[in-house]
Amino acid sequence: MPQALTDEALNFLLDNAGLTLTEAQKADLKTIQDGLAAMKARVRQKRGHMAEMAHGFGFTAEDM
Amino acid sequence: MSIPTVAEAAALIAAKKLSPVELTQACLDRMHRMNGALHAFIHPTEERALADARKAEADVMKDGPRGPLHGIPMGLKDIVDTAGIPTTCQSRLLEGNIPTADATCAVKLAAAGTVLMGKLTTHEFADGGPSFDVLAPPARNPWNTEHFTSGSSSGTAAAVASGMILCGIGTDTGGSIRGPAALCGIAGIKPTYGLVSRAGVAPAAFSLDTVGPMAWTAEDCALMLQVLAGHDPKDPASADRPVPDYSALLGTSLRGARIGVIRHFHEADSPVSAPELAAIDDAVAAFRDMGAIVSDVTLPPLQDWHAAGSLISMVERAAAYEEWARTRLDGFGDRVQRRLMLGALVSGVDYVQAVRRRRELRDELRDAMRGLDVVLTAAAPGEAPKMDAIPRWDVFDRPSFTIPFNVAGYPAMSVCAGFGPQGLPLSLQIVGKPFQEATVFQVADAFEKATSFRSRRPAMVG
Repeated sequence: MPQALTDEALNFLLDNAGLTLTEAQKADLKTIQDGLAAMKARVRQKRGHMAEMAHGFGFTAEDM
Repeated sequence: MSIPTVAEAAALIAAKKLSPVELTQACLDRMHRMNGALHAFIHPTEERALADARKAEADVMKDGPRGPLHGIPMGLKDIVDTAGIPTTCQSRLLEGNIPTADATCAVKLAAAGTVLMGKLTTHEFADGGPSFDVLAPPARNPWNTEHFTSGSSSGTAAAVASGMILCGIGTDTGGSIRGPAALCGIAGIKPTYGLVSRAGVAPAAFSLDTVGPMAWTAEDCALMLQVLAGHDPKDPASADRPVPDYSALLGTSLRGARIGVIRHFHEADSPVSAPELAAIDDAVAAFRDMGAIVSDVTLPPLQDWHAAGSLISMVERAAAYEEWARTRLDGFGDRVQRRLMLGALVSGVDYVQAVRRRRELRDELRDAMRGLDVVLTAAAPGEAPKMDAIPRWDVFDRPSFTIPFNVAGYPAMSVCAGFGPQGLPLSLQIVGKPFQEATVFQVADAFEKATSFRSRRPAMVG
């Protein structure tokens, strides 16, 4: 169970994202906190620190 | 006139037994009669359709057809740019927007000689769900207008099912081609990521977005994909590889074909309705009868795929629409506003973990498909729900059967697999290996031809 999202924490996240929400929208957003936390838990796996995602630049002759 | 498939119409046009003008007029007649109830078109282009049809007819009479799409009435989802024709993404934010250039897919379809019937209803910016607070009302399901079409290529599916067009363009970020195809009883394929250019198409989530064909049959989708596929330097994710003949395997035997069933997705992870399960089991039996070798496949739980795809989607959408979210949030409908808010609650670290999980999941699918040609699962949980039964936060309601293959980038198709007790379509999802769309079409076409589901249209069509 995730820690309850406080009003202060939510306001910080929304300010950081530059979003201006009504109080009703903020309350609505807090209702999905558990669902979102469950999704985040599913993508966190035990991985070594070489488990960075591969990124290919795909350089071509045009780049050189 | 009964509604022909693209392949049937193409054969008749080539034999000069069907006039593109006559075919277009029949589609327009159906549009006049049904679009008021279905809202499938947000911007019909009747004059353009008739002009395209007259030109196609003249060209065909003079030189014969350019290909099987010459003179075929089609439509474009309203997130596809069309020069001189409104492209609004169903949003008040783009009301009055008229692009100056066509999207690549629109250019290719025009070059193939298609007839543009209009722009098709979508969910706002291909997101959100059925909304009544956006630029125009949502499309309705032609099998029962009280029921949902799914989305976001909702207008395309409704228009194809009702015969207002013979084929159309959809886009698919988490199932927006396959969901509407499933609930409206048509065929729709999400191609391999990168196969069809997205240049000129409004983004949803860049690493998941695809453009693809929707039509009555798998064969028709193959004919469309033949025109749409190919490298486009205007799309940075466009794959630069040869385009095969997507119809090459149509009509060939499935004897010895190796088909996997991801049974736990639709039986355990997110159980489908009893009629949907019976339809899938019947399909599996039909494939066995055709000589295919069927086995079960086990993948990580559906919820893992849904989590990775949803988190990636939330962040990429929030980034794509960040400026408007910051400055004009209330210009979006309620559903899209809520989706964009989610981006604030997903950190950069969460996003990277989702991308890492994506890679692991993709590897699992690759390994599971070694020795198989396609895998099957549900495309939807069952018959279309009622329009007012869609949850406010549907992304947290139940995992999607379609998003795993956006996460993996693999081609996946929905075909009609029967009808449920309410008379609404049931469906089956067929998934191929990357760039192996021809095999997906082979399996889907064989299934359609072995069953009778393509002989039934919605009652309102008459």
